Amino acid sequence: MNKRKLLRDYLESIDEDTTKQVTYRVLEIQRESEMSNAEKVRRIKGVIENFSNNED
Amino acid sequence: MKINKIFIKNFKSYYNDNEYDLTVDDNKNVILIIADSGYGKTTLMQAINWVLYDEEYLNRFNKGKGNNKITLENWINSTYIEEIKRQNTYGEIEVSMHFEDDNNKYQITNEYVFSFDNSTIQYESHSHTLKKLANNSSQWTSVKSLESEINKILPKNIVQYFFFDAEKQSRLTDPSNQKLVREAIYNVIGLKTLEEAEENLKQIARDFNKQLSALPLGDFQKKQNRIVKLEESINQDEIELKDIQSEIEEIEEYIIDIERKLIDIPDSSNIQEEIDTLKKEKSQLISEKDSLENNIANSNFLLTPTFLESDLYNLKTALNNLKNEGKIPGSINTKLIDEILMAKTCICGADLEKNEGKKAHIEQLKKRIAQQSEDSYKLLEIFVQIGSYIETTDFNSLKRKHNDYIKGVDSLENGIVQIETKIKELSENLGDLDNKEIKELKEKKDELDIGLKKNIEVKGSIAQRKESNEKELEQFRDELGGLALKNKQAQKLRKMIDLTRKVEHELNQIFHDFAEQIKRTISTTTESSWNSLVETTRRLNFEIDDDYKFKVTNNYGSNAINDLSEGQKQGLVLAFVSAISKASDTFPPYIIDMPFGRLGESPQTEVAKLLPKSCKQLILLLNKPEYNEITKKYLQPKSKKTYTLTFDSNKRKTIIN
Repeated sequence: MNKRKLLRDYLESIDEDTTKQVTYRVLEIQRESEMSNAEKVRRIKGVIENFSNNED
Repeated sequence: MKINKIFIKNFKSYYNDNEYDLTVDDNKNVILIIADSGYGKTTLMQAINWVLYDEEYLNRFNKGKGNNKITLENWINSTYIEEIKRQNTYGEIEVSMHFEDDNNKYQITNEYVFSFDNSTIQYESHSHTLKKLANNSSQWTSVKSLESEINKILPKNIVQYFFFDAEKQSRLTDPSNQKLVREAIYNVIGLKTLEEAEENLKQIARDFNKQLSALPLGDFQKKQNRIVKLEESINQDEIELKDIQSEIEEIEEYIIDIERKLIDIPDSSNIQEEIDTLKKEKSQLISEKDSLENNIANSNFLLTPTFLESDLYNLKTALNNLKNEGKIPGSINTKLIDEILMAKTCICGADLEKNEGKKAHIEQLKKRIAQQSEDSYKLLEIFVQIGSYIETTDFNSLKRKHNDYIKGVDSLENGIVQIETKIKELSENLGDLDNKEIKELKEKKDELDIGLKKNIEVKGSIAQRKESNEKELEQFRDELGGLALKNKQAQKLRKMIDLTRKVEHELNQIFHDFAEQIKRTISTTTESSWNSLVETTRRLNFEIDDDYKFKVTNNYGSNAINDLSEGQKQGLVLAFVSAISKASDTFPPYIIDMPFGRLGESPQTEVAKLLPKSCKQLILLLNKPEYNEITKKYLQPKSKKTYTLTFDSNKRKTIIN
């Protein structure tokens, strides 16, 4: 078991679960080392907004 | 990851251009850098960190140093700085490294160009670049996302476990240092990323909340609740109005019914009036009757000698007969006339007495009789005339009148009786009416009138309230119409806040789940690596306990961590590092500063034997005493290159030999 496998397993467990989908996207954005934190916040906000809208 | 070459220029003790060839192969996977303290062997490790992570490494390096933080200027070779200042020209500090990972080749360079302005350093330019020669390509390309690429190859948060000071790292085995173990595991799962993510999510939730607070919703919810209440109240009022209207109509019908009954039942006042009228009529009738009775009395007086009637007829007839027969005496004596007159008086005396005209007529006749008594015929005629008069006029008339009087009296008496009967009936009715139904009905009607009035008042009050509520409702609806859009935005924001918090919670959950799994994996892998690296530990069991402490037990289950030799401990550290490498799916070289430190001879042998086995590329930074006969025996055969560093104290620069 290593971190990548854990993430892979997590990815497989996501399915239709919005919270998990957003969480995974947040982690992806957060791991973007080239991106400024302000940009990360902006993008995470966008993801949350999109998923919230899609839930309607 | 394998490091092939590194070029160091004006970095700390490395003056101008310097180069290390760090290439290894499977058989000879060790690079030895041997130098006295301060000659630049640790600087090599720092240069590798700096070229990979630039400023971030400098920050990490300064962590916990308080006010003694160093700057990049402190890392520029001091001899070189003096030259630049003296020459008043541009200088550069640069480290480049060639390495490979996953069959890809990389060239990374970190370079700052600087100058001095009155002893103050000015950075003119900075270049941190990464070039990549992909496995299936023959062309070098610039990697745009350098940090991201490097972090995939060797994450900055775990590099410290592979490039390390052995003495410091050995503290991992200290049971009181579970913080280091926990930190290592947390770093493997990317604690910082998760922490930053959580922090960002908190920030985002705060931002959303701010936006939500900024929405001029006012008391939208209150208004909405008020609308619901108003609607309920209006509906309730409508029901109440209907009910009360029905009740009013019912009362009105009841009142109408009572009024009808009251109309149907004769009014006592009318009855009394009728009685009074009847009484008057009766009185009048009585008066008439009295008058008639008086007349009757009079006529009775006149008619009393009715027995004379036949006599008078007889007389008249006899006279007529005598006259016709011519047997009337030539002279009619006065006696007869008096008798006749007496009879006449008896017959109609009273009338004659009362009727002056008749009386006068009779007296005139008497005189004429007296005057013409000699003329018997004439007298007889007068006499007959009197008889005729009596017969035709007064008597018959009197008789008829008398009869009429009697009839009139009878009729009046009947009328009076009828009136009395009627009065009696009416009086009885009046007596019945006064105390019962009318009273009850009137009382009931009064009661109903009061009830009706009250109901009408209540109806008015409800209608007024309903109207007021309807106005308020309309006003609220208008206001809500304007707020609806904002409320929609608010709902959206609330959903986003909710989702943000859920994600934050999920991250926290992931973190703990991952930490637990990674701890278990690292624990198991460390044990197997340790047992594999150090043969003498095969009877020992290792685990990282719930408190993130290293726990070593012997076959009897007793705690044995304090019984470990230095070599066993160093082996445990390497096994742990190896486990971290596997858990993080990262396989960098190990760069170990002073791996033997203050180890005694025996552990030196143990460690020297296990080190080359611990990884695919091992760069050992040794001080001269560490590279002794014991360590040399095991390391030299595995060593691809051995560098000995000397130091030019005049130029304050490292010399690579």
